[in-house]
Amino acid sequence: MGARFGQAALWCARRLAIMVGMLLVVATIVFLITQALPGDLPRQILGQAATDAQIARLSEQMGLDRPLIVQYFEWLGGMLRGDLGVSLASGTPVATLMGPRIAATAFMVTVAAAITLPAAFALGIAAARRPGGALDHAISGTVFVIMSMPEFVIAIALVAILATNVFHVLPATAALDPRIPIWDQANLIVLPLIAMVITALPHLTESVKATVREELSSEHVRWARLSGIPERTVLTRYALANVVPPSLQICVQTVGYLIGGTIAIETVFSFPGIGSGLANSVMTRDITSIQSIAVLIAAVLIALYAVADAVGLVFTPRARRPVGGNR
Amino acid sequence: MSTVHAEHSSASTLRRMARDPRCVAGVLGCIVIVALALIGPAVAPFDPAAFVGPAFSPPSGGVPLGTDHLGRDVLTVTLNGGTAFLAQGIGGAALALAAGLIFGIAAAISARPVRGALAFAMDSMVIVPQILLSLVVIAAFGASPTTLVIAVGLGQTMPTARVIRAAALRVAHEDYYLAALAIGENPVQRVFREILPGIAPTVLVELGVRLTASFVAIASLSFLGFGGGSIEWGRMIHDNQGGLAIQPWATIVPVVLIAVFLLSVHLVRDGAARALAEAMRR
Repeated sequence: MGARFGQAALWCARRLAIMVGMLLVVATIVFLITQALPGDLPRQILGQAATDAQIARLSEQMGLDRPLIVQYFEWLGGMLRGDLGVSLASGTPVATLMGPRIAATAFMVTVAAAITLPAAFALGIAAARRPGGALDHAISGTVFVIMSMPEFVIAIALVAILATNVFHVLPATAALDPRIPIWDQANLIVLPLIAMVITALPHLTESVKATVREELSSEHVRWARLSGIPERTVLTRYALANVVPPSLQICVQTVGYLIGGTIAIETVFSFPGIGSGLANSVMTRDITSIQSIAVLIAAVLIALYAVADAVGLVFTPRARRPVGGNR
Repeated sequence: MSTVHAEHSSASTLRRMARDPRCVAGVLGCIVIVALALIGPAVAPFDPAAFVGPAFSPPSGGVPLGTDHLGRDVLTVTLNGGTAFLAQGIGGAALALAAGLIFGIAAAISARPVRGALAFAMDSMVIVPQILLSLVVIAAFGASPTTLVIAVGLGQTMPTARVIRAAALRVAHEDYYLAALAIGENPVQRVFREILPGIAPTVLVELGVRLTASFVAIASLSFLGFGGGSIEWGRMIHDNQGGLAIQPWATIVPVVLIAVFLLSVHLVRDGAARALAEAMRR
């Protein structure tokens, strides 16, 4: 028992170190791209007409007059304390500026994931049980078409079909009223949610289908069937148990798609979230906001991957058996 | 001897693709869109900057697709908006592949600590959504057509590098590579004589993947308004989306062109990958 607990603690410590390392790599590369490469950022931001005094003031404000390494560690230290910095464009703290947007997008991504993940598993498993059947073909075809399209094309097509030109059943924009809770404006967020689900669904469905199909044609499932175990039990107890661990990684990847997809989808619907906020920040060259949000998103995804690994471990008895024992 | 074999197999790959109806449809779609983009500027009825009527006016005799948000002819702008899109897409894919080859091969054959560090950096960076990385690059350098290509290329460098690394690692474990190492070939010779020929099929498939992804990324980023002012299909959609209810053609026409083109590229890539896999099995 004690040995097993030690193993788990060791695994957690190792995983935590890897997470921190990954986040450091991302933060460093993002910092290097935004701070170190361009020669004259303040002049680019203020324009050619700016006076030298204005340039010097902005440089000082951005801390660009100090050595790069000092800037890097101050920024990193701030991020570790949860301080996202001050927006270059507006002078307000990034947390104040982006906080409501982060909450709105987190809500949307959670709801979209809550629809996408079960739907993808249901569709993928159903298609895998009858290879070459109508559902299998329909899914492969749809997946192929949707995977070729950028998110905004699907979002605009939805607006044209459901909100303007063909039918007019839903509002074309999702400009939320910040004074009312988001769930009380449900009619506004239906179309963006549909767009998010449609764009994120194909990849996961396809990979669930492939994994389940492989599992159903494996030796141990064949033996379970030959032993007279009912098909339903074979599917749930024998096949799906092995599908969960590899699929968890792709579930997190799907959440990554959902987050990346919000940038274009929120812009199409004028939804006040982190995606459209990022697009605006790039327009105004608000470097601090972009750095902080990029690292924040990376941190969330890295944490989710770690959770997926841990849950996958619980589902894989072989992997958590102490090394060398039970031979 | 080996060239004869390679020619034979590439000819049979092409024959296989020609027999695949989906692949043929994809090739036709690509030809139509590329022809439209290349010949378009020459046959457009107006100057792309000319104002021919009030903003968002519906189709009429002289302007078959109506006008856009500035009152320009939608047909003319459409015919002029394809060249930049195609050129930027190809540029982004080429950059991603070149950078991916450098990082990927370096991560496979350099000294152990460098190898490990590069692999760890790749695994970390692929977690960040590609479009987010592209936005970071655009924010740093400012929106321009060149930045757009760099942003898309860099955004896809790490996923490409991972694929190349995996293929190069396989070659690095082959006997012929170990033999080259033993007879003292220098790293440059090893890369050009052993690694590159060994990973050629992977590079070819990856080129297809990167082209599709790069066109998608270019379309998305110029839709977001980061194309730097050039006339371009993604930008048209961005500018005219507000008039969707009164003058849908200004938005729908570029949306359909982008959709048809991306679907066609995907069909060709898929057909080519299938044919290549079949040819390799023989």
